[in-house]
Amino acid sequence: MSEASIIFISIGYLCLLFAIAYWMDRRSRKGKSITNNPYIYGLSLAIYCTAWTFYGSVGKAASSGLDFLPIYLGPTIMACLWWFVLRKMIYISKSQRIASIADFISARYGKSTFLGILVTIIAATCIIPYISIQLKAVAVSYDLLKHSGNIAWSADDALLVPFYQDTAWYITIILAVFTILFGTRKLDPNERHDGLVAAVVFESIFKLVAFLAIGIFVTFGVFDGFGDIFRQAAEKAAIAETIFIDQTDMDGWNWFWLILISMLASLLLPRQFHIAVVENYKVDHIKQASWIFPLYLLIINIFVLPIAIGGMLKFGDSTNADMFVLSLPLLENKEVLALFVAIGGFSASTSMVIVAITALGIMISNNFVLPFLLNSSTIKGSAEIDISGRLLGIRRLSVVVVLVIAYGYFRFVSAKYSLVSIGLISFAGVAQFAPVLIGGMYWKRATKNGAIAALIVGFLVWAFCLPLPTLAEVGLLPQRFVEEGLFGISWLNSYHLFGTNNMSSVAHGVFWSLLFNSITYVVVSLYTSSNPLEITQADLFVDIYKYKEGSSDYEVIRRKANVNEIRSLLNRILGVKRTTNLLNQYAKQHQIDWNKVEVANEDLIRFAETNLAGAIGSASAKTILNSVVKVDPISLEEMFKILEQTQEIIQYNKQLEEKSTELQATTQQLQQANEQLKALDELKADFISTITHELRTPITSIKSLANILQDNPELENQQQYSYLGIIVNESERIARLVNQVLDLERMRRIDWQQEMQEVDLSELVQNTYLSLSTLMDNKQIKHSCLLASHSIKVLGVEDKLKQALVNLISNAIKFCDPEQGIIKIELQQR
Amino acid sequence: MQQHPYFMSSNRNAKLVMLFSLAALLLTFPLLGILGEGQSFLGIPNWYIYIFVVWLVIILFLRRVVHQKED
Repeated sequence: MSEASIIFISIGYLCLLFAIAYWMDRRSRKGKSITNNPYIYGLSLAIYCTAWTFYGSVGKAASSGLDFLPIYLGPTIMACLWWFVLRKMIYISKSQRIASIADFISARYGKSTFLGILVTIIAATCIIPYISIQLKAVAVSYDLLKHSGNIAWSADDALLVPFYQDTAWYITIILAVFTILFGTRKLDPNERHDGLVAAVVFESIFKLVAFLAIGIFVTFGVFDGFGDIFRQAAEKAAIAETIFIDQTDMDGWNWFWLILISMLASLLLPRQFHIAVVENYKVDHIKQASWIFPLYLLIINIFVLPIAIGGMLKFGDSTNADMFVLSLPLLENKEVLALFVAIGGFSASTSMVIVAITALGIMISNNFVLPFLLNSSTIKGSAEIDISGRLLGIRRLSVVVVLVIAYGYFRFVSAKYSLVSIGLISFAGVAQFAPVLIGGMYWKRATKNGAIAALIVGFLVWAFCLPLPTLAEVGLLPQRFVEEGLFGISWLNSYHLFGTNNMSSVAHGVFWSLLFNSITYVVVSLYTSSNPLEITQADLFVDIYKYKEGSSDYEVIRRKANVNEIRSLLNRILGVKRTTNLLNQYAKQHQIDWNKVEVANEDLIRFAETNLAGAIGSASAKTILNSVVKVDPISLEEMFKILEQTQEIIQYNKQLEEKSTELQATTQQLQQANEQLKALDELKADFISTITHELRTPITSIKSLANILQDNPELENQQQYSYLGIIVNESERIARLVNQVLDLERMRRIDWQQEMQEVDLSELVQNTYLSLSTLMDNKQIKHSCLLASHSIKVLGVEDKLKQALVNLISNAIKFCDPEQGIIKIELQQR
Repeated sequence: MQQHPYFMSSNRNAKLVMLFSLAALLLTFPLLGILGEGQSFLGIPNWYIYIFVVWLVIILFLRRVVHQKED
């Protein structure tokens, strides 16, 4: 096939991609976006399938049978947990405007700048080789097409031409342009890149169709269906021993570790994080995506084994198994099909590269470059210059630098390796984020120091076990340390750390790096403490569902700033137009007038910080805001004040409780008194009815006798006198009765308790006796008074006692017969 | 008592965890190795059919559980 037609068609394909992205961006700017759709979201996640899947799976199957499959089973298993893990990641990221995995980890551990840098370095180290193998796949596939399947050709030939004659170089440039146009269009990555997503979805569909086309062609065109292929394979011992699960020496250990790292990679790879979290429109889209994505993986894998067997049957060992999907149709002289498949592979590579460098570009500019620039005059400058353009420029430059390094890596290293082996090393590297990121979402106690230590340890062990030996094999490092162990120490061997045997290099590397990583994470976290910001962020991440409804009023740090300073800061970084929009929106929501507000409160500062974080990363946003914000950490005094207030409240509570108990007692007493009163009232009623009855008898007799006297004036004197005598008697009785009632009433009214005092009874009796003795003498009544020799003291009311005595004695005088009676008064103590 | 939104779909959550465990068990060794031995169906080895059928069934169940109405 002529080189011109290959290049012409590829450029045509890229133009189509540009057109789709451009059209979608315009639509979304008009508010008619169609990427806000769960199916689009699910298909965009298929960016997981790269040239590794398209070419590499077949190559892997041809060399080690089913070992290509765990990479796709892992994400399927993981998808069952998306509803918990991915949903939580999205909620957290949206609430903090997180734009990359570096930002996520940095924000979780107190917006640490250092962690952001560390994660960016690790991610770049893992992903740049991964990007380079995509470029390699493109280059190799083109050269293969050019030579029309000349099987004597090898990948090394690509390196013989200088880079300016190399197709891969020009493709690299075009991809950089595409990414700059559609992946770095907006400063805040949280404002989605609809064009980018649309292109990715188009490529996802295209690569699936292309792969199914070649799969169907090989299975049903070259061979006679699945059964035929497997039967032919079974007849050849060499193939059966590689492919057939019952004849290989496959072990579950390796399988397990491959599943584990691919589970983690499907969420933690920077491009997966970008598509799944940053470009997510609606959390509910996870529902569809969690079955569409695994289904996509299943479909694209059905034909891998048949193609691999077909290639092995047709070529044996004579050609690069990674390129079976192209060499098979070329062998059958189906050049158009081969070209179509090559474009499919091209789409798999380009979509991965575009999104991966977009994600890396955000990370490098926000978390790596900006922290170093923050002190420079560019950002701190007092002049009112809009530097949002410059920030985007940094991001675009990062994209170009990453691509150039990836291209260089391809020229010098990747060319010598299969697609899958480098891909797996990247997966294992990215898996190092898992303890720190997933642990940080569920474990509040995890500290920044724990995270830093874990990442460094995990990264070093990973680097020692996986990429370093491959670099040594290429000749970039001395071969000796792989054979004899580091510094000649045999148990520091990259493939047999601490003497471990019987593990594939990937399983070995993943096992040791993740083991050291997690142990360091837990132990260092337990032995170090967190600063207030870390605690706040940890709470926000772990309990995101609590905060989702509204912001909390739980503040450890209080900040203050000048509104104008905040405004000019936002102007510089986000641009005047966006700043004005944001602040007006804020003013509307909180009903404030910017002309009247001078001091920004914590809420406004947080609003500014979150929006800055979207544009430049949370760590940089924190640092840059600190230049205008005065931090008011809670002082010891205030702490005491709060404590005191709490104490007072507790005291007050106690008092209230006591009062309430008292009140209860009083109520009870009142109730008792009320009952007593009721009883008394009844008694009184009884008393009155008795008394009136008593009174009525004498009154009746007085009345009737008086009537008789009135009606009979001529009654005998004797009779009259006797009647009058009865009347007098009865009147006296009435008077007595009335006096008794009065006394009773008086007695009741006395407050005995108050007037009680010690009274000398002997003296009292003697005095009373003396005062009445003349009266008795006058009536000629005999009388005597015998008192005890000593004084007798009692508690009582003196007047009342005297009154009682006088009453007693005068009664005695009144009713005493002077001739026979004798009045004796005696006082004795018993 | 009003329930926290996180726990409202606890039934679904339990099913998802169960599906996750089941998938992890069925798609790894030793279960995969056991089915390796044995006859072929129409020339296609049993293990090949097993992997893809189990895979598909898990996806279908996942779809069912994820879309079920919150209860």
